[in-house]
Amino acid sequence: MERLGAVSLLKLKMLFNFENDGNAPPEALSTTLDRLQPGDRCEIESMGVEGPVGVRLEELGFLPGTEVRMVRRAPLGDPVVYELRGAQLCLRAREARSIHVRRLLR
Amino acid sequence: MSESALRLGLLGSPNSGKTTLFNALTGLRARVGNYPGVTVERREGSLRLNGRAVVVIDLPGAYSLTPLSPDEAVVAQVIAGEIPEVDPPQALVVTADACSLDRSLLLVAQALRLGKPCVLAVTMVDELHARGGSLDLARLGNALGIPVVGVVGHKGLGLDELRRLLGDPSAWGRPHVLPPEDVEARAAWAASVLDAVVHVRPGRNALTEAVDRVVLHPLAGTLLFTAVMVLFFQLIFAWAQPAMDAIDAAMGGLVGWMHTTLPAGFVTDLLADGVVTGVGSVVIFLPQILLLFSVLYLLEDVGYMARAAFVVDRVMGRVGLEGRAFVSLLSSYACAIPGIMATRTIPSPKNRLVTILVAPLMTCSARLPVYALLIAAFVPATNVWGPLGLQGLVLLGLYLAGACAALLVAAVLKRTLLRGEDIPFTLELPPYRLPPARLVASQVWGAASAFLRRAGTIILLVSIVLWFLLSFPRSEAPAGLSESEAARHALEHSAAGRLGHAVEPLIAPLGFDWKIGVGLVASLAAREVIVATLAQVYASQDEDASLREAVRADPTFDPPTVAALLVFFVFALQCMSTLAVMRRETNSWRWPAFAFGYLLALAYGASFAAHRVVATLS
Repeated sequence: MERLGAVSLLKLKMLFNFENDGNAPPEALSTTLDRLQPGDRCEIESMGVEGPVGVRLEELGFLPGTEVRMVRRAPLGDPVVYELRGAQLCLRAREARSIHVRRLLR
Repeated sequence: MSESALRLGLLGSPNSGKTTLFNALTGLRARVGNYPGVTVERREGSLRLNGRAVVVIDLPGAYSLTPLSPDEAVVAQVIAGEIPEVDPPQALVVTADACSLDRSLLLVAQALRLGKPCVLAVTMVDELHARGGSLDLARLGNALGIPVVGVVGHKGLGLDELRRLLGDPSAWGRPHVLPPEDVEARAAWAASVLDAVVHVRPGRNALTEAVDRVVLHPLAGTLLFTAVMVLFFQLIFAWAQPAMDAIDAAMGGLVGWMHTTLPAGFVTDLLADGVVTGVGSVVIFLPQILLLFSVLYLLEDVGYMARAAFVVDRVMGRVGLEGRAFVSLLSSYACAIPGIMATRTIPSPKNRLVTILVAPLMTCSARLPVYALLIAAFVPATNVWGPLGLQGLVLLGLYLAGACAALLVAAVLKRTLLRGEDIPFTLELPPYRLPPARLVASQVWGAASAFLRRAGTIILLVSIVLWFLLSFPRSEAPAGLSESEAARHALEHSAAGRLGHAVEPLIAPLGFDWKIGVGLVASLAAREVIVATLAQVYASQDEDASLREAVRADPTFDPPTVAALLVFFVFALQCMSTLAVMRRETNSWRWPAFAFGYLLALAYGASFAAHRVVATLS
């Protein structure tokens, strides 16, 4: 029972955060790549992915300091197109979640 | 060719204009094959520069020399000379898209560290200028320490200058300081190089953005995706038919001509009924293959295929696959062979293998003659609802059963045998571009010639073996039999006929007798062969209508057996060509054997269940 409670609390928190995403307060400038909305720009702070998956994302140009623009979501919500280093690349939320970024003001 | 040719490796990321440059340099004289031991396509083209023989190796597209995918591993191995029988390139030509140099220079840095002479070909400089960007190529050359040439491959711009350089790599010069190895340090190096040489960064690609607003729009994009896929399906399914019928008629004519013109006997029978008929039954798919690959490569080169994969990725992700697998499964509706060949675009080896293993479950066009015969003979042509007939619904049900089974099996495989991700899902959306016709043509020719080569080798062999099984040992037919009855007698006493009798106890639980057994044995070559074989068994030569009457009159074909036979064809992998292609694409007999085994087990189980259910109901 206790575990169940913890899970639904977490879900509630996620839901809350998600709904708050549109008008994020200034302290939420630090976020993850998957939380961006179309048109949002950000700079990558750190890559939270280890192993071959992390290496591949880095070789594709997802590196600290790189500027990324969220272009649009797929019709079904996932994956998402990002623009970086002059190219457009799609990532699923699963990978984008572990890329820590700092929003850039428009 | 006593002098040894200069070997140049063409290195670049996907969509960097590498293949266009390759075609521009070598014309259409490319030799296409596979690297020994792996399933990665090998393309080499030769040309003469200043009287010197030069071989250009079109290395597979790679984002990095730190290999993750099989393609990238091959690139690294070819350059290092680690592949037996493949001489390493003495020098490299690296292609980089002028509009995304920020990223391409990460690969250029790795190339420079290899210690081989390098030239940088900056591609799509016309696109850079169209987007208002400008770049000092001479300064870029100075910064890198190697020659840099701006090219537009399909317009021929910069090619003369590049050709002049290519003849003599010893004069290219080397970088003064090697770029760093670590990826973050490489990015910093690239940024500092670009700071010095870029005057104006290119603006956004207005055309691509405008088109994407429609093509990737939640509603319009989904509708367009559906329309493209319906059209694609229609194209390979219906519009290839006239050409296929023409080939069929030509082959039939050739067989008839051989029988009437050549001296009657063993050799003529083998040539006409074994070789020509067998190979012809595969070459007949050539129009489909040509159409399919023309559309596939056109959509790919224009930039739509990546968008289609993007739109449908979520759905395929549910069963553990990815967007690119959809295209391959859709192609498998026509024929599993091009479908399996189309999996080459999937970078993850595990996802690619799962897609290959389930592709035969998609209802290919070879099943259609079998379904058509059985449905026409046994399903009443009544209307169920409006213009929807029962026959059509049964056919639709068979198609859906195959597709659902493919997705289910994929989900199971991804959760068991081939669990986990080897490569994260990433997909580049290239800018929309009008591909030069020559590029599409050369790619289609590559696919078609690979298909024809296979028809000329393994399928030829299998056809000959099958012909022997169906024709030997010869037995003296009792006198007084008509020609068709004699044919049936010969077939029943042939090795295949005996095989049919031998497997009868095994297939009896499904309601099948030896006649269906012979058909199943013969259908191992190709599914639709069962129709021709049954025609022989029932001694009703080639008239479709009479075969339909004959099976209807046979008490063996009761409703449970017909249902079992239809279900058997939904699942079973009766296609030597598919097995041969699987063997080629996975580079081992292990996976085709696995696919054959699991599909046979599935077919037998489902067929048995169908027999029981229908027997209980009726």
